[in-house]
Amino acid sequence: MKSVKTLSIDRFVDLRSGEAGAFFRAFSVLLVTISAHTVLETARDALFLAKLAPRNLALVYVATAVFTIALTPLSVRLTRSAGAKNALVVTLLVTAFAAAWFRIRAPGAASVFSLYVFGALSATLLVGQFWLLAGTLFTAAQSRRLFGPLASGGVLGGVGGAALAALLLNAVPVRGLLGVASLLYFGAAFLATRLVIEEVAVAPSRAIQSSPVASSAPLRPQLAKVQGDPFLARLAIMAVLSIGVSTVVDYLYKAKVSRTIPPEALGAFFARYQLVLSLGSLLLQVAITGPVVQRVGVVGLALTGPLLLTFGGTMTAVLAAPFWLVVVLKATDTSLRNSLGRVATELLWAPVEQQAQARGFVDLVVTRVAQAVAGCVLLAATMQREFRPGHLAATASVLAALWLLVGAGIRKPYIALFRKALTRGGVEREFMLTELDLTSVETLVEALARPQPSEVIAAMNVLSERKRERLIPALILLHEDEGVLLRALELLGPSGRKDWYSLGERLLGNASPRVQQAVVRAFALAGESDVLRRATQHPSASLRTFAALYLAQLAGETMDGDPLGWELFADDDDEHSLKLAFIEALAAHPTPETPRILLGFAGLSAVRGAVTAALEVAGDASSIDFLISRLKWADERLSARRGLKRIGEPALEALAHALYDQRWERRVLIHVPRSISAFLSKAALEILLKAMVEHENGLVRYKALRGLEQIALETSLRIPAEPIFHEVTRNALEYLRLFAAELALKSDRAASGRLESQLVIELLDDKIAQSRDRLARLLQVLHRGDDIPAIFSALMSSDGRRRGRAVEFLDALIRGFDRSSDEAAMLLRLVVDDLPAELRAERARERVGAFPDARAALTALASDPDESVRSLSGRALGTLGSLPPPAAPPLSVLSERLV
Amino acid sequence: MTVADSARLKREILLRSMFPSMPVAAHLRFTDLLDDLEAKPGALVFDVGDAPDRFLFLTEGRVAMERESERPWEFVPVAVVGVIDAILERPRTRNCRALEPSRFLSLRISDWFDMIEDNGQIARAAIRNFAAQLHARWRQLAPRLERHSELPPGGATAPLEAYDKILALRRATFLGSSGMQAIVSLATVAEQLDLKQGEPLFELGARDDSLHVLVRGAIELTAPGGFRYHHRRGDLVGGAAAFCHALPGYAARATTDVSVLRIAEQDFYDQAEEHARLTRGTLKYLVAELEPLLEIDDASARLVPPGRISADA
Repeated sequence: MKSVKTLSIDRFVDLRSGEAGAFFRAFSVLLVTISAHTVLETARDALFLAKLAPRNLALVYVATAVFTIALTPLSVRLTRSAGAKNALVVTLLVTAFAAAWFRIRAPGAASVFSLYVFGALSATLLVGQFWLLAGTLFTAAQSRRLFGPLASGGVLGGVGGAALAALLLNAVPVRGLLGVASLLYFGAAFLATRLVIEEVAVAPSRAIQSSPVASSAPLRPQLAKVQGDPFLARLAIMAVLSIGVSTVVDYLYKAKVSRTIPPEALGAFFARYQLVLSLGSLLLQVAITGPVVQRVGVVGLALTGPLLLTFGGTMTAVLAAPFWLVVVLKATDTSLRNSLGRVATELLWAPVEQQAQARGFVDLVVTRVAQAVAGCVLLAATMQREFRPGHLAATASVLAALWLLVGAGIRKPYIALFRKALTRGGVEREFMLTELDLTSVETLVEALARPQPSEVIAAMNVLSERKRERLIPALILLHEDEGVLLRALELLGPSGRKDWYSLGERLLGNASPRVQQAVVRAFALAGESDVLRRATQHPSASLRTFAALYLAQLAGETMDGDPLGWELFADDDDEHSLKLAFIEALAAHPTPETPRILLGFAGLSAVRGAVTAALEVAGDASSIDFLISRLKWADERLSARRGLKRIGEPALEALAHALYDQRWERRVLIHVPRSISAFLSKAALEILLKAMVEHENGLVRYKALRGLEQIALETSLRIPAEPIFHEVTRNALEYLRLFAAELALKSDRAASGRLESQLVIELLDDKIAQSRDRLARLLQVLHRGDDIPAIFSALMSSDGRRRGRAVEFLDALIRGFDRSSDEAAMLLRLVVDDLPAELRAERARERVGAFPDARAALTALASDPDESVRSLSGRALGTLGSLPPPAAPPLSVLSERLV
Repeated sequence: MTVADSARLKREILLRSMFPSMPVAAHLRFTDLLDDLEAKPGALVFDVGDAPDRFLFLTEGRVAMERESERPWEFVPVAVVGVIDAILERPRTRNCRALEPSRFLSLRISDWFDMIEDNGQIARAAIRNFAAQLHARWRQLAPRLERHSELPPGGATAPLEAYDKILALRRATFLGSSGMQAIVSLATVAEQLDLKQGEPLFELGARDDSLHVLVRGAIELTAPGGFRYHHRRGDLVGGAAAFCHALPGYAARATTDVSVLRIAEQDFYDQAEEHARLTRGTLKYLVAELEPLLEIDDASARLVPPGRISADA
């Protein structure tokens, strides 16, 4: 891999491996194209103002808009049929021939008018096509790094073109510039043919679909789409206001020039103006655009232009539009539009993929109509009253302020767009709360009649979980399948309904003993003693026993002492069927004595699971310790948690205490945080925040984080950001430290080839992934509306575009952090950015130290706070001929995770 | 993805009927993540070499997964198609062709892994589900496998240091893709058992929910009906049976002096909740073991199946 350090250009552009060729080819195409356009524009402006009055400019704006709308579909067809590169080449060639034709023609009024329209039109198409091509060459993340420097190719072209025009005007007339422009366009076409588009990197069709010239669909649906999408609507309004500002400022500028500069000096003036403008733009591009993109982000970048133009327009209006200030205003608009503005626009459109036609609609129809309207308004205004530069400047200022206002609100929909592209879809828990509508009920009732028993059972379960058991017809008890009958009886027993009694009692004659037993159980849960009494006469001895047992329980015929010693269970089998049935019935009809009796049963390990399940609904404060102790068993954990939650505050206090209570074994301790989070309360939140930051056990801290994640996703409780940022900083530093150490270790082939070192590398791999996972969860707590883990997983995607989107999205989220979290934001950006390994380690060096080689890395790791890292690294270091630091404990104490 | 409530319910009912033991939360999440897919007769749903980015739940029709010179695997509703390559994270090794007009619900493999990593219950259910399938097949075919008749040499027993436990677990087949951190954590909770030749590791009918990794020596696994299978170093004693609570159906006895690392099932799943790779790795192991068994034609007399089962003992 080519090191980033080896590139001499790296101060100017952050080029990564494999990007240089595409970047410099594209750069040169833009440079020569803009050179040609600058030369042509110099000639065009001078010829126009020498031949025609400034008010004709308004007509030019209208004509340009109309022609753009008319010609763009041709460009679309060309792009679709020939590809973005070939379309650019063809457009460059056509422009070159047209420029040559204007060179030959005499400069009459019609001719210069046409030249002006042609110049504007070709610039629009060429620049649009170029950036479309750039969009196919680079991913979203690459675009964010490279579009700024790439745009400076255009600025450099402006400098070169302007300088060339200024020089040439000493020797040739203004029209001669058109011939030079023609030659330059030919040159640009040649360079464009050298561009290579990698089909694998980006699907061309997708890139073309997102092009500004890709609209061929009917207008009405596109308009509806733009109106219905907050992001697109804002982009469209911004485009309208932007073109409005530009048109007004251009008119103001040219009218002022026409009144101030004599016709014979126009060519030299425009050439010098272009040169100064381009030099200023170059300075802006080199010194400001790149850092600005990195520091203020895409949205900040998009707001820079309107902010400066609002200020400039206001100053111009207040000072009655002096010539120099108008020139500065125009220069500001032009230079920003071609540098920061262009980059911002491309980046704002980068996440838009599905709305491809909308971009065509916005860039073509909306902006051109806005331009035409602006031209008409200007024409009407200048025809009715005399030229008032102060008014025009004020108008530009107001439009720029509106542009700023609309742009300021784009961040939220911009993030939403990335979110939509990266996340996994809706959150299912909301569905559980939704009422079942008629169609859904029909679906479920229909499913109850399906031939497949599994589907019938599934439908009953769905109804039960949505508290719609009443929709299960009693006739379901006529079903032939045992599984269906068992589940139906389970649900009907405690439902409070009585319509199933007669059909249910008939099932006492069912051939299946399991069904018979389920019937008795269902009537016991329903508290229906009459049926149970009849069941005591059943031919089946076991059924008679069950019925008698349930009747005894219903009658409150319990005895004192240890329930395991009760005579009632003297004939119980090895499976403890009677005890289990009794425990279940106790839970169905609890009395104040129930918890005591249930805890008495807990002395028998075989029924403890049933006891836990019963205490879920019948436990009291006396059950807390037992329920906490059952957290270690996966099969009982959910019941234990629910039971603790039902008990309420005393249980939460006990759990908070258990977090730091040495008497609880590790298996219990690690499940305490998620049990606390099940309370979903403010008190639970505070306990978990404290545990996440302060607890000595890493796994408990992690579980506390998982618990916080649950609270974030399932409640609207306000979660203080400070402890979260504290953990973000801690985990990001951990990630970067381990990453840098592992890189040093891997880079040493001799060392990394040893088994001992390999174990360290494998361990570091896992711990790095673990740190990243924790960062994702921390961000999830802060941004509960997003699916952050899915976005983090996109960071590891092999699809560069998807990876780029994830980086961009996370960058936008990080920019939303407040000032107090600057460090966390900086570190997090370093973790998630799409950087080469060496560069990431280099940038992290200040914070986590340098690891020049494997020995240094292992030496540092042999003093790691983590016991497992420390032990394995110490051993690996020993194989390199170094002894581990004296503080390193023996490997046998690998018990960091044991409390 | 947004789907109408009734459509969601239909999916939910289907999933519940396919996976009745799966937690409710998993069903609901599944429902949201599914996409509809249809295929006409003869159409390729996916081809050999395609990226295995999705599972397919066949809801209607009939499909076959084909590979040249191999017998096709046919699926009818309700079946999960394309799961092996997806879990093993390799390009498709068989195509899937619709034999009749067929409908599927498809789920991104990444979403499924996210689900099992987020939820310990789902992870356990998934492991048990695959383990039960593998165990059923293995129980039927194991006596025909090459290893059945071989008896490797034993080794001297000695106390294992933590580092040795790490190396031993790293060598264990079922932890091959589980990651070092999980292995280190398991090493801290693994208990060493040393048995003399002839001593039982567990008896038939004994309830022991532990996983036993054979570190040294050999163990013979037996079951009623003449079932006999020899485990060697690196093996999980009982294989998939250890993951689906089927060990009480077997007895295990040391045929040489042996050392075994015993990991309580609870400890294993606790670690799996912390280390996502442990769950993934276990699933990979189960699927990798299952695949060669599926390739064996039940009617054939072949004793040496392709793939890992007969490989490096």
